[in-house]
Amino acid sequence: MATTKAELLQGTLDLLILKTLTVGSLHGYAIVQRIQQRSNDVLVVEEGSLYPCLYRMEEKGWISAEWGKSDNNRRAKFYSLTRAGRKQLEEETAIWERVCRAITLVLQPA
Amino acid sequence: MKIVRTIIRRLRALGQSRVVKQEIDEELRFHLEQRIAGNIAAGMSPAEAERAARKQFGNVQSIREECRETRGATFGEEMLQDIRFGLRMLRKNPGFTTVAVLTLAFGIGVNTSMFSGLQSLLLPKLPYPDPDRLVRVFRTSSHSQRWPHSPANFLDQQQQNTVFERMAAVNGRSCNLSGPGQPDERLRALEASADFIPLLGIQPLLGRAFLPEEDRPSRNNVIILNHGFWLRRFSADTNILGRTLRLDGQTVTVVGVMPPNFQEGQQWGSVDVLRPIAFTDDQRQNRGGNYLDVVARLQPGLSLAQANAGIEALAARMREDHPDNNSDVGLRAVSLAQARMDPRGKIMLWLIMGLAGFVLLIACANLANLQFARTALRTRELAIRGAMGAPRGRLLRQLLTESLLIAALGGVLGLLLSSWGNQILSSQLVEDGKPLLNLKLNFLVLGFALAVSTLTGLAFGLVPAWLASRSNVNTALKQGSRGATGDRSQHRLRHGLIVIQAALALMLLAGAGSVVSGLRNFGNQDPGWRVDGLSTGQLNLADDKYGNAKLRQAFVERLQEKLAALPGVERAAIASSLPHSGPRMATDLAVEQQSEATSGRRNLRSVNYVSPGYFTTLGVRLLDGRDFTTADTDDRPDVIIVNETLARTYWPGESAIGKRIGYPDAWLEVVGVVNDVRSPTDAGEPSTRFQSYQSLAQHSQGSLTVAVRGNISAGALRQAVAELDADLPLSQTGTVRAKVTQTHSQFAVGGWLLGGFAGLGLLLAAIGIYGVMAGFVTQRTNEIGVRMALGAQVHDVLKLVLGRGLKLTLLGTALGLIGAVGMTRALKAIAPGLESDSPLVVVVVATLLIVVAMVACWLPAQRAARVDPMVALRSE
Repeated sequence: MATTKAELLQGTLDLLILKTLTVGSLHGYAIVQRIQQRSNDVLVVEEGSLYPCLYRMEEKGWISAEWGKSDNNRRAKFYSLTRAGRKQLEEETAIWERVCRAITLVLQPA
Repeated sequence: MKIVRTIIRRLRALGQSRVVKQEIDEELRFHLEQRIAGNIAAGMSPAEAERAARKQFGNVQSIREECRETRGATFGEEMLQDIRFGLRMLRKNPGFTTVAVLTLAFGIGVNTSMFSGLQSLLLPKLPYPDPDRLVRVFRTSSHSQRWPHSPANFLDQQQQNTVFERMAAVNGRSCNLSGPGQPDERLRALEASADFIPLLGIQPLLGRAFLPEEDRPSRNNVIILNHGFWLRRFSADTNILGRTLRLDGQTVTVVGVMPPNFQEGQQWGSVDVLRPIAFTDDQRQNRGGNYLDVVARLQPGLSLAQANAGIEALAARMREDHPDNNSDVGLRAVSLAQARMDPRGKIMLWLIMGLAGFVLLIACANLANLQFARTALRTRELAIRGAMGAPRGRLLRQLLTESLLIAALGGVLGLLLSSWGNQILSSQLVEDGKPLLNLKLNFLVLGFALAVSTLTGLAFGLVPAWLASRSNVNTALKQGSRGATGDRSQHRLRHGLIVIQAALALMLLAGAGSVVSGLRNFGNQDPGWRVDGLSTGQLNLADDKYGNAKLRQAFVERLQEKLAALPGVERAAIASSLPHSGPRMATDLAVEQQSEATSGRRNLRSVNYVSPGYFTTLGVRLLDGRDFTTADTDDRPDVIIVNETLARTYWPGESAIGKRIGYPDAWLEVVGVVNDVRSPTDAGEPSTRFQSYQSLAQHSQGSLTVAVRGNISAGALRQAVAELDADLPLSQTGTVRAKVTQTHSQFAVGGWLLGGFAGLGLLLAAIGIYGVMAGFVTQRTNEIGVRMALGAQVHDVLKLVLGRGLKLTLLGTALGLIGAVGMTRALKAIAPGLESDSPLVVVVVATLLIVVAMVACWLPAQRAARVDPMVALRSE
């Protein structure tokens, strides 16, 4: 397990989940694992915030859920991006990049 | 779109609350197991792996709740919780609950009853196919918007019209049915053209409708029985077709029986039989005598407005082709369902409905006040619950649920009250043993009650709930019990409600008071003739035995002689009608040597054909000239007697005797002037104030009314007629007083109804005032205690409380007075016959309201005066 953890900014979890789902439909556990791997174990998503977040995003129509079989042949709920979700991802990515650039600018030595 | 989807999902979640729960559990469990498996793979022991996984996962329970909340799965559960909690709160406050539910039950009950009456009168369902296309056509003129038609005009319209599929004329009249084996009977017949039954779209229950060729004088010896008459007279004999009956001395064959629903939604009273109208050649030429009711069926796809535009062309042609009879005529088509209610009756009904609405408004104001008082007392509870983390919306929902619960209970009880009230009303409002109104609680009425309950629940729950949930947690908790005083705006609102209640109650009282006093005055008014001691009956001289004027006149003379000679009888007379039933006939009033142009429009005069002695028999005073005598016969010049108003209007300051009125080609000489008579049963504006009488001997009539002054039974009267002609039935016998009383009792029901509304409104307003003043005293207990400790006397405290109550009541009364004036004005326009002493009534009811309000304030004031300063101050 990673020793350094970053607190997730409010709203970034949405972005991470949306981005993660661009590879295809995943269940909740796989989403956590993937985010952790891709961030080199820096970002660890807490289950306590993941599931309410997934449900909220489903309610907003960004992702859709479906019951299917997991790799080990268990019944699991798979989430995938909807069209609205893709659009949301694009918008949020743009905002994120702008914010990042802005923060970098601020942090640059004067 | 999105909202719709969300709602659908929520509703589904509501129904599948358990499924949602299971799915969340399964998903979370899967996650946990995957994590455990991962941990084991990373080299942990199974027990260690599970512990670590659970630790990382956190509180499963709260995650699950959060997920469910997002899905809306908790909505239903919370609602049930609210309802359970609400019911518990209502049980804990039985006093509040009882007053609130009863208040609402009365409000809703009264309104539901009135609405069921209104809808049965205004939205009657005609039991015929495609009823929206059925219309009634009226002839309009400067005199009336609802005039009938003459045969010649009707036949022209029927031929020329382009907007109706069919048109039919009907005419109600009476005829005599004789034997065999059963007593003679006077029947109510509806003469109808052959198109009438097919036009309605119904089939006879047995047999057939009239054939077109039976609509001619020589072929009209057929009859169709109405369902009720067939049951009564022939015990529903299915072999009745082809049987012959003796009707007015003519032999007619039964060709059909009408279905039972024919009579429903009818406008021609109760009908026993139908006959072909079969115009004679003379009748076909008759353009001046307007007596036919015309019904029609619109062509498919045509609106009523289009039809009205279409028949205007017919009216224009009538005006052009026959200006002498139709100079100012118009035509007007009205939906058949709406046509039977005259406009004045409609306004009256809306007025009653409006007054019932006032009762409901007062009830709502009351409930809002009660709710204010209660939420004020609960401010602390609500503040604590808010401080513990209950969201504001949730608190609001809780309070609203309680209001809606009260509304639902009140609605159910109100519905029971109204079905009970409807039974009483139906049993009171009867005419000839049949209920006037069809007061049924159908789905429309139930829907109305439901809507009213929900709306009132929202109305009296929303504002107090919103105010309460808005209150600041900190101040509410800090202020302790004083927090219950609420803020100033809330006070002003509650006091405003009291003012409105008082104003509404005053308007109700004034309206009811004017009607009741008007009815009493109306009953006590001098009608211009003596109602008491007069007996009456009706008969019909049929064509077979009394085919010409001579035969009829001979019978009338013999009958009058015979009746006058009966023991106990002082005087007897025969006429075409008596004043209590209102004038039967009216005709244009033309006066010799007086131009019509002066008055702008032609006036009408009512016409009654009377025998000599009619005026003395009825107690009408002869003011000038002479009565008709036996010498005024057919071969003598036509004479006429007029009423005082006519004589004074047309010949002011000079004697009317010797003047001539009537028709330009046939003037009648005025020989007498009598006082005006009035129908003691009709409170509306009479069609004309000008009355005239013509000699029965000079204008013989078939349909006659006998009037007998003296002490005689109905049986003796019938016996006397039977001795002259055994086949001649005398119907509708009885004392005139009994007939007048019957009509008055219907008025009385209306009076009682309004009186009941007003009493209820007053009671509710009193409860409201009491509640607010009691709250006022409770909140000010400390202040009162301090004042008394500082030397205030009992009467000072009484003055404080009573003064406050009086101020509010007076303000309400002042507002209500304005409304009351408008109300009495409206009543006067609707029922000009009801002359009420409005100013006096308003003064009396205003005093009553103030006295009742003071009594309602007196009880809390007394309690305030008994406040023990020590106890009051210590309770802080």
